[in-house]
Amino acid sequence: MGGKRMSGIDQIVVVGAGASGVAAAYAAATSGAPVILLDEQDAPGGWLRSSVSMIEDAPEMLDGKRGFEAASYATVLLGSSSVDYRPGTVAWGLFENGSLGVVGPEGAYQLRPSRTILATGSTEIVWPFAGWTLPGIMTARAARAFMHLHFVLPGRRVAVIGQGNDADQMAVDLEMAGADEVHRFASPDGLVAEGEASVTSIVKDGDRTHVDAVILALGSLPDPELARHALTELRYSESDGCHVPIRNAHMMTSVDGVFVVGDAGGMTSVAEAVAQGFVAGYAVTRSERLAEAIGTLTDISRETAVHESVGTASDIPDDVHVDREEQVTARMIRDAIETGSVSVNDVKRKTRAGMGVSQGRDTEYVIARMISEQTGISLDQLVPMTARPPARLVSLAALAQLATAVD
Amino acid sequence: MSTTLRIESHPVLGSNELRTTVTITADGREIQALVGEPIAAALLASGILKIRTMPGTAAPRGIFTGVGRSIEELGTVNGESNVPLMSTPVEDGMVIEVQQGLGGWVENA
Repeated sequence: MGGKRMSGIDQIVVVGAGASGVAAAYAAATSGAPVILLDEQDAPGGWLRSSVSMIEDAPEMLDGKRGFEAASYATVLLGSSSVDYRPGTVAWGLFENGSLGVVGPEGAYQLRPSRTILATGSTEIVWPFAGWTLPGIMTARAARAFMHLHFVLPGRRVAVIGQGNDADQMAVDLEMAGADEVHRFASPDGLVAEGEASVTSIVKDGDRTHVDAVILALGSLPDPELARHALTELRYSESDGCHVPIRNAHMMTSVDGVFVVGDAGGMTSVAEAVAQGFVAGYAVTRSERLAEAIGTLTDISRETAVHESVGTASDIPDDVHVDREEQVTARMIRDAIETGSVSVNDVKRKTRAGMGVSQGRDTEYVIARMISEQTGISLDQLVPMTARPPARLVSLAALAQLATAVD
Repeated sequence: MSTTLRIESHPVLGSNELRTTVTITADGREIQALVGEPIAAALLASGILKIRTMPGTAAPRGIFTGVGRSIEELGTVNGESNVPLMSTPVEDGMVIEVQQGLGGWVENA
Protein backbone atom coordinates (compact mmCIF):
# COMPACT_ATOMS: atom_id res chain seq x y z
CA MET A 1 0.00 0.00 0.00
CA GLY A 2 3.05 2.24 0.08
CA GLY A 3 2.80 5.62 -1.57
CA LYS A 4 -0.94 5.61 -1.96
CA ARG A 5 -1.73 8.15 0.70
CA MET A 6 -1.25 11.43 -1.05
CA SER A 7 -0.89 14.66 0.83
CA GLY A 8 0.79 16.83 -1.81
CA ILE A 9 -0.63 20.33 -1.68
CA ASP A 10 -1.29 20.53 -5.39
CA GLN A 11 -2.74 17.06 -5.90
CA ILE A 12 -5.87 17.05 -8.09
CA VAL A 13 -8.18 14.05 -8.08
CA VAL A 14 -10.88 13.58 -10.72
CA VAL A 15 -13.58 10.97 -10.07
CA GLY A 16 -15.14 9.47 -13.20
CA ALA A 17 -13.64 9.11 -16.69
CA GLY A 18 -16.57 9.99 -18.90
CA ALA A 19 -16.37 12.91 -21.33
CA SER A 20 -16.27 15.60 -18.64
CA GLY A 21 -13.90 13.77 -16.28
CA VAL A 22 -11.38 13.08 -19.04
CA ALA A 23 -11.59 16.72 -20.19
CA ALA A 24 -11.08 17.98 -16.63
CA ALA A 25 -8.13 15.66 -15.96
CA TYR A 26 -6.52 16.50 -19.29
CA ALA A 27 -6.94 20.27 -18.79
CA ALA A 28 -5.52 20.17 -15.27
CA ALA A 29 -2.59 17.96 -16.33
CA THR A 30 -1.69 20.14 -19.30
CA SER A 31 -1.62 23.08 -16.88
CA GLY A 32 1.12 21.29 -14.97
CA ALA A 33 -0.73 19.81 -11.98
CA PRO A 34 -0.30 16.21 -10.79
CA VAL A 35 -3.66 14.57 -11.59
CA ILE A 36 -5.10 11.23 -10.53
CA LEU A 37 -8.16 10.07 -12.51
CA LEU A 38 -10.26 7.38 -10.81
CA ASP A 39 -12.49 5.27 -13.07
CA GLU A 40 -14.75 2.48 -11.86
CA GLN A 41 -14.82 1.12 -15.40
CA ASP A 42 -11.97 -0.72 -17.15
CA ALA A 43 -11.47 1.93 -19.83
CA PRO A 44 -12.22 5.65 -20.29
CA GLY A 45 -15.40 7.01 -21.87
CA GLY A 46 -18.16 6.38 -19.34
CA TRP A 47 -21.48 5.63 -21.03
CA LEU A 48 -19.98 6.54 -24.41
CA ARG A 49 -18.12 3.21 -24.37
CA SER A 50 -21.33 1.28 -24.96
CA SER A 51 -22.97 3.82 -27.29
CA VAL A 52 -23.05 3.36 -31.06
CA SER A 53 -25.02 6.51 -31.79
CA MET A 54 -23.51 9.61 -33.38
CA ILE A 55 -22.65 12.38 -30.94
CA GLU A 56 -24.78 15.45 -31.62
CA ASP A 57 -23.42 18.99 -31.26
CA ALA A 58 -19.98 17.51 -30.74
CA PRO A 59 -16.95 19.64 -29.98
CA GLU A 60 -14.50 19.75 -32.88
CA MET A 61 -12.32 16.77 -31.96
CA LEU A 62 -15.38 14.52 -31.57
CA ASP A 63 -17.20 15.72 -34.68
CA GLY A 64 -18.93 12.91 -36.57
CA LYS A 65 -17.80 10.29 -34.07
CA ARG A 66 -19.93 7.57 -32.55
CA GLY A 67 -19.94 7.14 -28.78
CA PHE A 68 -17.49 4.22 -28.64
CA GLU A 69 -15.14 6.04 -31.04
CA ALA A 70 -15.14 9.07 -28.74
CA ALA A 71 -14.30 6.72 -25.86
CA SER A 72 -11.30 5.40 -27.83
CA TYR A 73 -10.25 8.99 -28.45
CA ALA A 74 -10.40 9.64 -24.69
CA THR A 75 -8.04 6.69 -24.18
CA VAL A 76 -5.54 8.11 -26.64
CA LEU A 77 -5.82 11.59 -25.13
CA LEU A 78 -5.13 10.29 -21.62
CA GLY A 79 -2.24 8.19 -22.86
CA SER A 80 -0.60 11.27 -24.32
CA SER A 81 -0.93 13.19 -21.04
CA SER A 82 0.68 12.97 -17.60
CA VAL A 83 -2.65 11.94 -15.99
CA ASP A 84 -2.30 9.05 -13.53
CA TYR A 85 -5.27 7.05 -14.84
CA ARG A 86 -6.54 4.33 -12.49
CA PRO A 87 -9.12 1.99 -14.09
CA GLY A 88 -11.25 -0.42 -12.07
CA THR A 89 -11.03 1.98 -9.14
CA VAL A 90 -14.04 3.05 -7.11
CA ALA A 91 -14.32 6.21 -4.98
CA TRP A 92 -16.92 5.18 -2.41
CA GLY A 93 -16.92 8.14 -0.03
CA LEU A 94 -16.00 11.82 0.18
CA PHE A 95 -15.51 12.93 3.76
CA GLU A 96 -15.73 16.22 5.64
CA ASN A 97 -11.93 16.60 5.80
CA GLY A 98 -11.80 16.33 1.99
CA SER A 99 -10.41 12.80 1.89
CA LEU A 100 -11.67 10.19 -0.55
CA GLY A 101 -12.19 6.52 0.28
CA VAL A 102 -10.92 4.48 -2.66
CA VAL A 103 -10.84 0.79 -3.59
CA GLY A 104 -8.85 -0.34 -6.61
CA PRO A 105 -7.02 -3.39 -7.94
CA GLU A 106 -4.19 -2.69 -5.43
CA GLY A 107 -6.61 -2.65 -2.50
CA ALA A 108 -8.16 0.06 -0.34
CA TYR A 109 -6.59 3.44 0.24
CA GLN A 110 -7.30 7.07 0.99
CA LEU A 111 -6.56 10.12 -1.12
CA ARG A 112 -6.31 13.60 0.32
CA PRO A 113 -6.36 15.93 -2.69
CA SER A 114 -6.22 19.70 -2.51
CA ARG A 115 -8.94 19.87 -5.17
CA THR A 116 -11.49 17.22 -6.14
CA ILE A 117 -13.42 17.25 -9.41
CA LEU A 118 -16.45 14.99 -9.35
CA ALA A 119 -17.49 13.75 -12.79
CA THR A 120 -19.65 10.92 -11.53
CA GLY A 121 -22.22 11.10 -14.32
CA SER A 122 -25.78 9.98 -14.15
CA THR A 123 -27.90 7.08 -12.99
CA GLU A 124 -30.82 5.60 -14.88
CA ILE A 125 -34.42 6.39 -14.01
CA VAL A 126 -36.42 3.29 -13.19
CA TRP A 127 -40.13 2.97 -12.46
CA PRO A 128 -42.01 0.09 -10.81
CA PHE A 129 -44.82 -1.88 -12.48
CA ALA A 130 -46.39 -5.28 -11.88
CA GLY A 131 -43.80 -8.03 -12.43
CA TRP A 132 -40.90 -5.61 -12.98
CA THR A 133 -38.46 -7.62 -10.86
CA LEU A 134 -38.57 -10.67 -13.16
CA PRO A 135 -35.26 -11.72 -14.77
CA GLY A 136 -35.12 -10.53 -18.40
CA ILE A 137 -36.28 -7.05 -17.44
CA MET A 138 -33.32 -4.67 -17.44
CA THR A 139 -32.35 -1.06 -18.00
CA ALA A 140 -31.13 0.45 -21.26
CA ARG A 141 -27.53 0.63 -20.01
CA ALA A 142 -27.48 -3.04 -19.07
CA ALA A 143 -28.89 -3.89 -22.51
CA ARG A 144 -26.30 -1.69 -24.25
CA ALA A 145 -23.47 -3.25 -22.25
CA PHE A 146 -24.64 -6.73 -23.32
CA MET A 147 -25.06 -5.76 -26.98
CA HIS A 148 -22.21 -3.35 -27.58
CA LEU A 149 -19.49 -4.48 -25.17
CA HIS A 150 -20.19 -8.22 -25.08
CA PHE A 151 -22.03 -8.98 -28.37
CA VAL A 152 -25.08 -10.58 -26.77
CA LEU A 153 -28.69 -9.59 -27.44
CA PRO A 154 -30.89 -9.11 -24.36
CA GLY A 155 -33.58 -11.09 -26.21
CA ARG A 156 -35.09 -11.82 -29.63
CA ARG A 157 -38.56 -10.38 -28.95
CA VAL A 158 -38.02 -7.27 -26.91
CA ALA A 159 -40.34 -4.72 -25.30
CA VAL A 160 -38.94 -1.20 -24.88
CA ILE A 161 -40.58 1.04 -22.28
CA GLY A 162 -40.21 4.81 -22.60
CA GLN A 163 -40.96 7.57 -25.05
CA GLY A 164 -37.91 9.87 -25.01
CA ASN A 165 -34.61 9.84 -26.90
CA ASP A 166 -33.30 6.99 -24.77
CA ALA A 167 -36.15 4.68 -25.84
CA ASP A 168 -35.99 5.76 -29.50
CA GLN A 169 -32.26 5.03 -29.55
CA MET A 170 -32.78 1.68 -27.81
CA ALA A 171 -35.22 0.58 -30.53
CA VAL A 172 -32.61 1.50 -33.17
CA ASP A 173 -29.85 -0.27 -31.20
CA LEU A 174 -31.90 -3.46 -30.91
CA GLU A 175 -32.75 -3.57 -34.60
CA MET A 176 -29.12 -2.91 -35.53
CA ALA A 177 -28.01 -5.78 -33.29
CA GLY A 178 -30.47 -8.13 -34.97
CA ALA A 179 -33.45 -8.47 -32.60
CA ASP A 180 -36.45 -10.10 -34.32
CA GLU A 181 -39.19 -7.94 -32.80
CA VAL A 182 -39.21 -4.62 -30.94
CA HIS A 183 -42.43 -3.63 -29.20
CA ARG A 184 -42.73 -0.07 -27.87
CA PHE A 185 -44.61 0.98 -24.74
CA ALA A 186 -44.71 4.71 -23.96
CA SER A 187 -45.06 4.40 -20.19
CA PRO A 188 -44.74 1.80 -17.43
CA ASP A 189 -48.21 2.83 -16.16
CA GLY A 190 -50.60 -0.13 -16.22
CA LEU A 191 -48.08 -2.65 -17.59
CA VAL A 192 -48.00 -6.20 -16.22
CA ALA A 193 -44.96 -8.41 -16.84
CA GLU A 194 -45.59 -12.16 -16.59
CA GLY A 195 -43.33 -15.20 -16.29
CA GLU A 196 -41.94 -17.79 -13.87
CA ALA A 197 -38.13 -17.94 -13.96
CA SER A 198 -37.98 -15.02 -16.40
CA VAL A 199 -40.27 -12.67 -18.29
CA THR A 200 -42.34 -14.32 -21.04
CA SER A 201 -45.01 -11.73 -21.81
CA ILE A 202 -46.13 -8.21 -21.12
CA VAL A 203 -49.79 -7.20 -20.83
CA LYS A 204 -51.23 -3.76 -21.51
CA ASP A 205 -55.00 -3.09 -21.39
CA GLY A 206 -55.68 -6.84 -21.70
CA ASP A 207 -53.44 -7.29 -24.78
CA ARG A 208 -50.69 -9.84 -24.23
CA THR A 209 -47.37 -9.55 -26.13
CA HIS A 210 -44.91 -12.47 -25.96
CA VAL A 211 -41.40 -11.24 -25.21
CA ASP A 212 -38.13 -12.64 -23.88
CA ALA A 213 -36.73 -9.30 -22.69
CA VAL A 214 -38.06 -5.95 -21.49
CA ILE A 215 -35.89 -2.82 -21.53
CA LEU A 216 -36.61 0.20 -19.34
CA ALA A 217 -35.32 3.19 -21.34
CA LEU A 218 -36.65 6.06 -19.25
CA GLY A 219 -33.69 8.44 -19.35
CA SER A 220 -31.21 9.39 -16.65
CA LEU A 221 -30.79 11.51 -13.54
CA PRO A 222 -27.71 13.42 -12.36
CA ASP A 223 -25.76 11.32 -9.83
CA PRO A 224 -23.78 13.73 -7.63
CA GLU A 225 -23.68 11.27 -4.75
CA LEU A 226 -20.11 12.00 -3.62
CA ALA A 227 -20.89 15.73 -3.65
CA ARG A 228 -23.83 14.97 -1.41
CA HIS A 229 -21.52 13.09 0.98
CA ALA A 230 -19.57 16.34 1.27
CA LEU A 231 -22.84 18.16 2.09
CA THR A 232 -22.66 20.57 -0.80
CA GLU A 233 -25.69 22.88 -1.02
CA LEU A 234 -28.34 21.66 -3.44
CA ARG A 235 -31.05 23.26 -5.55
CA TYR A 236 -34.04 21.68 -7.27
CA SER A 237 -33.55 21.49 -11.03
CA GLU A 238 -36.83 21.63 -12.99
CA SER A 239 -35.18 20.26 -16.13
CA ASP A 240 -33.63 17.29 -14.28
CA GLY A 241 -36.54 16.54 -11.95
CA CYS A 242 -34.26 16.25 -8.92
CA HIS A 243 -31.84 18.17 -6.71
CA VAL A 244 -28.37 19.04 -8.03
CA PRO A 245 -25.36 20.79 -6.44
CA ILE A 246 -25.24 24.60 -6.62
CA ARG A 247 -22.11 25.70 -8.53
CA ASN A 248 -20.31 28.90 -9.41
CA ALA A 249 -18.93 29.83 -12.84
CA HIS A 250 -15.83 27.68 -12.12
CA MET A 251 -18.01 24.59 -11.49
CA MET A 252 -17.14 24.72 -7.78
CA THR A 253 -19.79 23.70 -5.26
CA SER A 254 -20.52 25.41 -1.93
CA VAL A 255 -17.74 23.27 -0.41
CA ASP A 256 -14.33 24.81 -1.02
CA GLY A 257 -12.22 22.69 -3.37
CA VAL A 258 -15.05 20.36 -4.46
CA PHE A 259 -16.05 20.74 -8.12
CA VAL A 260 -18.80 18.98 -10.09
CA VAL A 261 -18.79 18.63 -13.90
CA GLY A 262 -20.83 16.81 -16.54
CA ASP A 263 -24.10 14.99 -15.93
CA ALA A 264 -23.51 14.82 -12.18
CA GLY A 265 -24.34 18.54 -11.97
CA GLY A 266 -27.41 18.35 -14.24
CA MET A 267 -27.89 16.44 -17.49
CA THR A 268 -25.64 17.78 -20.25
CA SER A 269 -24.85 17.23 -23.91
CA VAL A 270 -21.41 15.74 -24.64
CA ALA A 271 -20.23 19.17 -25.81
CA GLU A 272 -21.37 20.79 -22.58
CA ALA A 273 -19.86 18.02 -20.46
CA VAL A 274 -16.51 18.47 -22.16
CA ALA A 275 -16.69 22.28 -21.84
CA GLN A 276 -17.49 22.03 -18.11
CA GLY A 277 -14.57 19.64 -17.68
CA PHE A 278 -12.18 22.14 -19.25
CA VAL A 279 -13.51 24.95 -17.06
CA ALA A 280 -12.96 22.95 -13.85
CA GLY A 281 -9.59 21.61 -15.02
CA TYR A 282 -8.33 25.12 -15.71
CA ALA A 283 -9.98 26.56 -12.59
CA VAL A 284 -8.24 24.14 -10.20
CA THR A 285 -4.89 25.00 -11.75
CA ARG A 286 -5.63 28.74 -12.07
CA SER A 287 -4.73 28.49 -15.74
CA GLU A 288 -4.71 31.54 -17.97
CA ARG A 289 -6.94 29.55 -20.33
CA LEU A 290 -9.83 29.62 -17.81
CA ALA A 291 -11.57 32.71 -19.20
CA GLU A 292 -11.60 31.26 -22.71
CA ALA A 293 -12.99 27.94 -21.41
CA ILE A 294 -15.78 29.75 -19.57
CA GLY A 295 -16.57 31.60 -22.81
CA THR A 296 -16.82 28.31 -24.72
CA LEU A 297 -19.15 26.87 -22.08
CA THR A 298 -21.35 29.98 -22.08
CA ASP A 299 -21.78 29.75 -25.86
CA ILE A 300 -23.25 26.24 -25.67
CA SER A 301 -27.02 26.35 -25.71
CA ARG A 302 -28.86 24.45 -22.99
CA GLU A 303 -32.11 22.57 -23.30
CA THR A 304 -34.39 23.78 -20.56
CA ALA A 305 -37.52 21.62 -20.99
CA VAL A 306 -39.16 20.80 -17.65
CA HIS A 307 -38.64 17.16 -16.68
CA GLU A 308 -41.86 15.16 -16.75
CA SER A 309 -42.22 12.16 -14.47
CA VAL A 310 -41.84 8.90 -16.38
CA GLY A 311 -44.79 7.30 -14.60
CA THR A 312 -47.83 8.02 -12.45
CA ALA A 313 -47.15 7.30 -8.78
CA SER A 314 -50.78 6.51 -7.92
CA ASP A 315 -50.84 3.85 -10.68
CA ILE A 316 -48.16 1.70 -9.01
CA PRO A 317 -50.01 -1.39 -7.73
CA ASP A 318 -50.00 -1.81 -3.92
CA ASP A 319 -48.18 -5.16 -3.91
CA VAL A 320 -45.33 -4.12 -6.24
CA HIS A 321 -41.85 -3.83 -4.70
CA VAL A 322 -40.83 -0.19 -5.19
CA ASP A 323 -37.47 -0.90 -3.56
CA ARG A 324 -36.29 -4.04 -5.35
CA GLU A 325 -33.46 -4.83 -2.92
CA GLU A 326 -35.22 -4.27 0.39
CA GLN A 327 -38.50 -5.58 -1.13
CA VAL A 328 -40.59 -2.69 0.17
CA THR A 329 -44.05 -2.54 -1.44
CA ALA A 330 -45.91 0.54 -2.68
CA ARG A 331 -48.53 -0.15 0.04
CA MET A 332 -45.91 0.05 2.81
CA ILE A 333 -44.68 3.38 1.43
CA ARG A 334 -48.25 4.74 1.05
CA ASP A 335 -48.99 3.76 4.67
CA ALA A 336 -45.84 5.54 5.83
CA ILE A 337 -46.84 8.70 3.95
CA GLU A 338 -50.39 8.49 5.35
CA THR A 339 -49.04 8.35 8.88
CA GLY A 340 -46.90 11.44 8.51
CA SER A 341 -43.76 10.70 6.49
CA VAL A 342 -43.28 13.78 4.31
CA SER A 343 -39.73 13.26 3.08
CA VAL A 344 -37.76 10.47 1.42
CA ASN A 345 -35.67 10.23 4.62
CA ASP A 346 -38.84 9.73 6.73
CA VAL A 347 -40.11 6.99 4.41
CA LYS A 348 -36.68 5.35 4.45
CA ARG A 349 -36.57 5.26 8.26
CA LYS A 350 -40.08 3.80 8.48
CA THR A 351 -39.95 1.24 5.68
CA ARG A 352 -36.26 0.55 4.90
CA ALA A 353 -36.92 1.70 1.31
CA GLY A 354 -33.58 3.05 0.05
CA MET A 355 -31.47 1.19 2.61
CA GLY A 356 -30.25 -1.50 0.19
CA VAL A 357 -26.82 -1.77 -1.35
CA SER A 358 -27.73 0.67 -4.13
CA GLN A 359 -28.32 3.29 -1.39
CA GLY A 360 -31.66 4.52 -2.65
CA ARG A 361 -30.48 6.06 -5.90
CA ASP A 362 -33.15 4.18 -7.86
CA THR A 363 -35.92 4.57 -5.33
CA GLU A 364 -35.50 8.22 -4.36
CA TYR A 365 -36.95 9.39 -7.69
CA VAL A 366 -40.05 7.19 -7.29
CA ILE A 367 -40.63 7.78 -3.57
CA ALA A 368 -40.34 11.57 -3.99
CA ARG A 369 -43.13 11.40 -6.58
CA MET A 370 -45.26 9.12 -4.39
CA ILE A 371 -44.98 11.65 -1.52
CA SER A 372 -45.65 14.59 -3.83
CA GLU A 373 -48.76 13.04 -5.42
CA GLN A 374 -50.15 11.83 -2.08
CA THR A 375 -49.51 14.96 0.01
CA GLY A 376 -49.59 17.75 -2.58
CA ILE A 377 -46.12 18.95 -1.53
CA SER A 378 -44.33 19.99 -4.71
CA LEU A 379 -41.13 18.13 -5.65
CA ASP A 380 -38.94 21.21 -5.22
CA GLN A 381 -40.14 21.57 -1.62
CA LEU A 382 -39.27 17.98 -0.63
CA VAL A 383 -36.13 17.55 1.45
CA PRO A 384 -33.67 15.49 -0.64
CA MET A 385 -32.55 12.15 0.72
CA THR A 386 -29.37 12.15 2.82
CA ALA A 387 -26.56 10.40 0.96
CA ARG A 388 -24.15 8.33 3.02
CA PRO A 389 -21.07 6.29 2.17
CA PRO A 390 -20.43 3.83 0.69
CA ALA A 391 -21.46 5.01 -2.77
CA ARG A 392 -20.52 1.61 -4.20
CA LEU A 393 -20.31 -2.00 -3.05
CA VAL A 394 -17.24 -2.21 -0.80
CA SER A 395 -16.16 -5.42 0.88
CA LEU A 396 -15.54 -5.52 4.63
CA ALA A 397 -12.09 -6.90 3.84
CA ALA A 398 -11.27 -3.72 1.91
CA LEU A 399 -12.48 -1.53 4.77
CA ALA A 400 -10.48 -3.54 7.29
CA GLN A 401 -7.39 -3.05 5.14
CA LEU A 402 -8.07 0.70 5.09
CA ALA A 403 -8.41 0.83 8.87
CA THR A 404 -4.98 -0.77 9.19
CA ALA A 405 -3.48 1.67 6.68
CA VAL A 406 -4.90 4.68 8.55
CA ASP A 407 -3.55 3.48 11.90
CA MET B 1 -36.20 -19.67 -31.42
CA SER B 2 -32.51 -19.40 -32.14
CA THR B 3 -30.44 -21.25 -29.56
CA THR B 4 -28.06 -18.36 -28.99
CA LEU B 5 -28.44 -14.66 -28.44
CA ARG B 6 -24.90 -13.97 -29.59
CA ILE B 7 -24.45 -11.20 -32.15
CA GLU B 8 -22.24 -12.75 -34.84
CA SER B 9 -21.68 -9.50 -36.69
CA HIS B 10 -22.80 -6.00 -35.75
CA PRO B 11 -23.17 -3.45 -38.58
CA VAL B 12 -21.23 -0.78 -36.67
CA LEU B 13 -19.09 -2.72 -34.19
CA GLY B 14 -18.08 -5.72 -36.28
CA SER B 15 -17.61 -8.91 -34.29
CA ASN B 16 -16.47 -9.97 -30.86
CA GLU B 17 -12.70 -10.02 -30.35
CA LEU B 18 -13.05 -12.84 -27.83
CA ARG B 19 -12.67 -16.19 -29.60
CA THR B 20 -11.62 -18.93 -27.19
CA THR B 21 -14.62 -21.09 -26.37
CA VAL B 22 -14.73 -23.06 -23.13
CA THR B 23 -17.38 -25.07 -21.33
CA ILE B 24 -18.85 -23.92 -18.07
CA THR B 25 -21.67 -25.37 -16.02
CA ALA B 26 -24.62 -23.14 -15.31
CA ASP B 27 -27.68 -24.18 -13.35
CA GLY B 28 -26.79 -27.84 -13.83
CA ARG B 29 -26.15 -27.84 -17.57
CA GLU B 30 -23.05 -27.36 -19.68
CA ILE B 31 -22.93 -24.24 -21.84
CA GLN B 32 -20.40 -22.69 -24.18
CA ALA B 33 -18.77 -19.45 -23.06
CA LEU B 34 -15.96 -17.18 -24.23
CA VAL B 35 -12.89 -16.77 -22.06
CA GLY B 36 -12.82 -13.21 -20.73
CA GLU B 37 -16.47 -12.30 -21.21
CA PRO B 38 -18.49 -11.50 -18.07
CA ILE B 39 -20.23 -14.56 -16.64
CA ALA B 40 -23.58 -12.74 -16.99
CA ALA B 41 -23.02 -12.35 -20.75
CA ALA B 42 -22.26 -16.06 -21.15
CA LEU B 43 -25.40 -16.97 -19.22
CA LEU B 44 -27.58 -14.57 -21.24
CA ALA B 45 -26.15 -15.89 -24.53
CA SER B 46 -27.46 -19.33 -23.52
CA GLY B 47 -30.82 -17.93 -22.44
CA ILE B 48 -30.14 -18.16 -18.69
CA LEU B 49 -31.57 -15.04 -17.11
CA LYS B 50 -32.21 -16.05 -13.50
CA ILE B 51 -29.02 -15.67 -11.46
CA ARG B 52 -30.32 -15.56 -7.90
CA THR B 53 -33.32 -15.56 -5.60
CA MET B 54 -34.10 -12.94 -2.99
CA PRO B 55 -33.86 -13.55 0.74
CA GLY B 56 -37.27 -14.01 2.36
CA THR B 57 -39.40 -14.11 -0.77
CA ALA B 58 -37.30 -16.48 -2.95
CA ALA B 59 -38.28 -14.27 -5.91
CA PRO B 60 -36.08 -14.84 -8.99
CA ARG B 61 -33.78 -12.01 -10.10
CA GLY B 62 -31.46 -11.35 -13.03
CA ILE B 63 -29.23 -8.53 -14.24
CA PHE B 64 -31.18 -5.27 -13.92
CA THR B 65 -28.90 -2.21 -14.10
CA GLY B 66 -25.69 -4.15 -14.67
CA VAL B 67 -23.41 -1.45 -13.29
CA GLY B 68 -22.11 -3.20 -10.19
CA ARG B 69 -24.21 -1.32 -7.67
CA SER B 70 -26.87 -3.86 -6.86
CA ILE B 71 -27.22 -7.19 -5.08
CA GLU B 72 -29.28 -8.36 -8.04
CA GLU B 73 -26.18 -9.17 -10.08
CA LEU B 74 -24.52 -11.27 -7.39
CA GLY B 75 -24.45 -15.02 -8.02
CA THR B 76 -22.71 -18.17 -6.81
CA VAL B 77 -19.53 -19.20 -8.66
CA ASN B 78 -17.51 -22.34 -7.80
CA GLY B 79 -19.37 -22.44 -4.50
CA GLU B 80 -18.53 -18.86 -3.56
CA SER B 81 -21.55 -16.63 -2.92
CA ASN B 82 -22.08 -12.98 -3.89
CA VAL B 83 -19.80 -12.88 -6.92
CA PRO B 84 -20.60 -9.93 -9.24
CA LEU B 85 -21.51 -11.70 -12.49
CA MET B 86 -21.41 -8.57 -14.67
CA SER B 87 -17.75 -7.89 -13.85
CA THR B 88 -16.28 -11.34 -13.26
CA PRO B 89 -14.77 -12.89 -16.42
CA VAL B 90 -15.44 -16.46 -17.53
CA GLU B 91 -12.80 -19.10 -16.89
CA ASP B 92 -12.74 -22.68 -18.17
CA GLY B 93 -14.71 -25.14 -16.06
CA MET B 94 -16.51 -22.61 -13.87
CA VAL B 95 -19.60 -23.85 -12.08
CA ILE B 96 -22.35 -21.23 -11.78
CA GLU B 97 -25.32 -21.87 -9.52
CA VAL B 98 -28.47 -19.85 -8.95
CA GLN B 99 -27.71 -18.16 -5.64
CA GLN B 100 -30.32 -18.90 -3.01
CA GLY B 101 -31.01 -15.77 -0.99
CA LEU B 102 -27.92 -14.48 0.78
CA GLY B 103 -25.93 -17.57 -0.23
CA GLY B 104 -23.79 -19.77 2.00
CA TRP B 105 -20.38 -19.60 3.60
CA VAL B 106 -17.23 -21.19 2.27
CA GLU B 107 -14.73 -22.25 4.93
CA ASN B 108 -11.21 -21.08 4.21
CA ALA B 109 -8.83 -24.00 3.71
